[in-house]
Amino acid sequence: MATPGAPASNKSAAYDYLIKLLLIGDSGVGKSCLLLRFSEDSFTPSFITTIGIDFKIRTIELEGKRIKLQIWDTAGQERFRTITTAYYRGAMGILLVYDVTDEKSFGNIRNWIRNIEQHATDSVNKMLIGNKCDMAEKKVVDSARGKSLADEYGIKFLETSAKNSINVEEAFISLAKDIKKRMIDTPNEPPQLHSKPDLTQNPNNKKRGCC
Amino acid sequence: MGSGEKMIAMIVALSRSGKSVLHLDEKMNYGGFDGSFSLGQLTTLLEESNTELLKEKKDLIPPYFSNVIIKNYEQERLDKEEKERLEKERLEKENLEKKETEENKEEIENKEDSENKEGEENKEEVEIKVDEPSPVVVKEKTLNELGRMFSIDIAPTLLYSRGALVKLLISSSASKYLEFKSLDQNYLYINKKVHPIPSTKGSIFKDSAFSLKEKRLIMKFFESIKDLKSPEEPEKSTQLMNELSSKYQLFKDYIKSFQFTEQVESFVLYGVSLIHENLDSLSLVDGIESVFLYTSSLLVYGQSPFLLPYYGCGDIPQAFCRLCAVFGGTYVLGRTINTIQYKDNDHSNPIESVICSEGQTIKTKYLVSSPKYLNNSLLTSTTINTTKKTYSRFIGITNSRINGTEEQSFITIPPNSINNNKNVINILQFASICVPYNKGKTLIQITTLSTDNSKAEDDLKECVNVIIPNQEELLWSSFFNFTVENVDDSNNNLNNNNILVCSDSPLNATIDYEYHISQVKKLFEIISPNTPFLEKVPDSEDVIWGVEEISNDTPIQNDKEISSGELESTNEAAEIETLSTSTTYSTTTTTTTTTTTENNI
Repeated sequence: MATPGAPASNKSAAYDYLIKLLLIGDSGVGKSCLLLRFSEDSFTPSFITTIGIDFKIRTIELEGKRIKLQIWDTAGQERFRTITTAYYRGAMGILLVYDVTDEKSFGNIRNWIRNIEQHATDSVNKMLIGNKCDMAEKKVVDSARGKSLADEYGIKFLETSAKNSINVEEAFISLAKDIKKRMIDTPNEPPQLHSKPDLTQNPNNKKRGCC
Repeated sequence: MGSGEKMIAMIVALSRSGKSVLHLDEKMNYGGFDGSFSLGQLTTLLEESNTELLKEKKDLIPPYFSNVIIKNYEQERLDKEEKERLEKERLEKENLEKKETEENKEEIENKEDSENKEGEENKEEVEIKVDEPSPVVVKEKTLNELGRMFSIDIAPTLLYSRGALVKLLISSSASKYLEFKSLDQNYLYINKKVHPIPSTKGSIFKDSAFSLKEKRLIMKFFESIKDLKSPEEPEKSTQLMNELSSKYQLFKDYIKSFQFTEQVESFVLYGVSLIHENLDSLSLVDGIESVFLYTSSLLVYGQSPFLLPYYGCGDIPQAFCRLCAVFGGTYVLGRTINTIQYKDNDHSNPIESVICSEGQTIKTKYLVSSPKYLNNSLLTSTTINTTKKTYSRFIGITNSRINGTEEQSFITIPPNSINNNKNVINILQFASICVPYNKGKTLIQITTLSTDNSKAEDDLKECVNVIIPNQEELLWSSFFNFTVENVDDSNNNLNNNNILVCSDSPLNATIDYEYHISQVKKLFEIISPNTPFLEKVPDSEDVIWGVEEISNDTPIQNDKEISSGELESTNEAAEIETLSTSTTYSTTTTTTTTTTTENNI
């Protein structure tokens, strides 16, 4: 279900909008697995901390528009609560992930929300994700509790399984839809754009300066 | 230990080259003096420095300040308004009561007339009361409400578009974590006016501040610099440079040879060459390098040769930290080390492990640290020679820009321009950089070197009065001093203990990181000889749809010295509490870093 038909390693693949999403939550809740399932439709059961995964890209089509989703992973910096404030810059949507088999990861969601409120923009779209819903026998966090926490903050809620590919597409795409609605379809709140030089592009070497 | 920008660049280079890195930090924020803070965080930091307790404590971990004065004009105004409103209400009430009593008297005396009067007055009262709440409704957000969206640098730095740091950010791929904006215009304060510095040949000739003769001299100067640094004819340039070096040792002497007018000399020395400290002893080579850097950075990304991270310079160390983390570096904030253990307990032997503030032992081959941490009894066999530099700073938030300037501006005030200022004063004005969502608010950053322990307010008060003549516009301001410690890194070799001292000074004479980067490279060479310094990371977008597995994205795993088993043992320490009880980590490089700020989580 995940990525068939995606343009092969084509960096300049055309897209209409770029949306920056973040994954946030405790270590081991499956943030990277969700990311890999969504971007590459793959799953690794072994638990290794996130090394080398910076962000992943997947371009989706929403109502005739090509939306490039740039999804950032925490690079393991959540482990000791040392996520840089720069991580939150320019984020349009955040997936808050907990593990349905881990009570503590659910309890910490409030801390992560506090963190988001401190560092991300006020209007950022949030979504609560209870991952590992395939492990029914080990489940300790009830769906109802997840739902009620999400309701408390007025955000959407889904239970997912990166392993069995349950609701992963739905989660990312639903968040992307909300962001599109907020930022692109609503003209009175245009995307916050500022002309910024892209350092990786060759700068325009127009006329040389004084000499 | 010590988490300035330089330190972090060093650590990320080690991590990138395959070393396993643990990076500790006593405080809860990244960056030390290189950090950016929200208004609330900054206020807390500054206020903390003012408490007696901290004043007495020596060897503080940066950032810390002295001579702090904070004024929240907006709050004062709001408080005053509130007080006046209450006072007014009280008076009105009194008046009303008075009138009523008077009227009562009148009533007794003249019953019939008073009835009409009272009716009219009551009408007026009602009208006033209806009007009053309306200004509250349209009230703008206060600074307290907006403060979170400020990103204020303690030591703002400019990046030359073609400077070493920008090159490093690009070559290391750390630039993908940052957004940049180029400044709109540079200015020089001459003849008691803020004058735009021309950036093209055409604009020099259009500039009314210079006479035709002066313009020719300026062009002659730039032509000569161009000849000295010609990429087409490097041999000729070297020859010219050698000839010149035999004639002039100092940049100052070379400038004198042009017989500039005072105004042009000021333009060249302060507007174009940005090495302002120890200008009198600036070498010819460094001076020319500085001018060349300026001219070659012009019109690269914009009119000004300078770039700035959109959310403040504090994002640069963070970008490097992120890169380091992507390559397996582990960060723990709020931790420091208490003891260093050497092989066979002999202080002249290499380091074997360190004991953290929470009691856990960490094995390590090397320790990279800022001088602040080693100043106490930790380091027994080495003395660290440091030089201290104190800066005077002003940070102001206003409702309007400095007269006659563009939104993002850099203004240089040469010595003896305002109130006989001893040193060059640098002013940065940001109307969108560092204040991304606070439209209409302007951040003004002023920096100068403090001499003979001069206080920030004494150094800069007059300057503030000149550039912000209407103090009504000022919403918040602070004067403060801070001191950085520089290690003479050029003489720094790895000592017998395998401990490397790396200074965390964010500012240097060139207001850019040119010097720092070269120092970091030297230090890196010591620990990791013959290894490329911060190789480019394959672009995520290039490999994302690739046929290969994730390993494509994670080149580090192939040549890591650390086994996944060890990695997992680190993983288990998911909570800080468990860290203290967990077993010894095996790390090749341990770096303890320290910053001073309020925590986030």
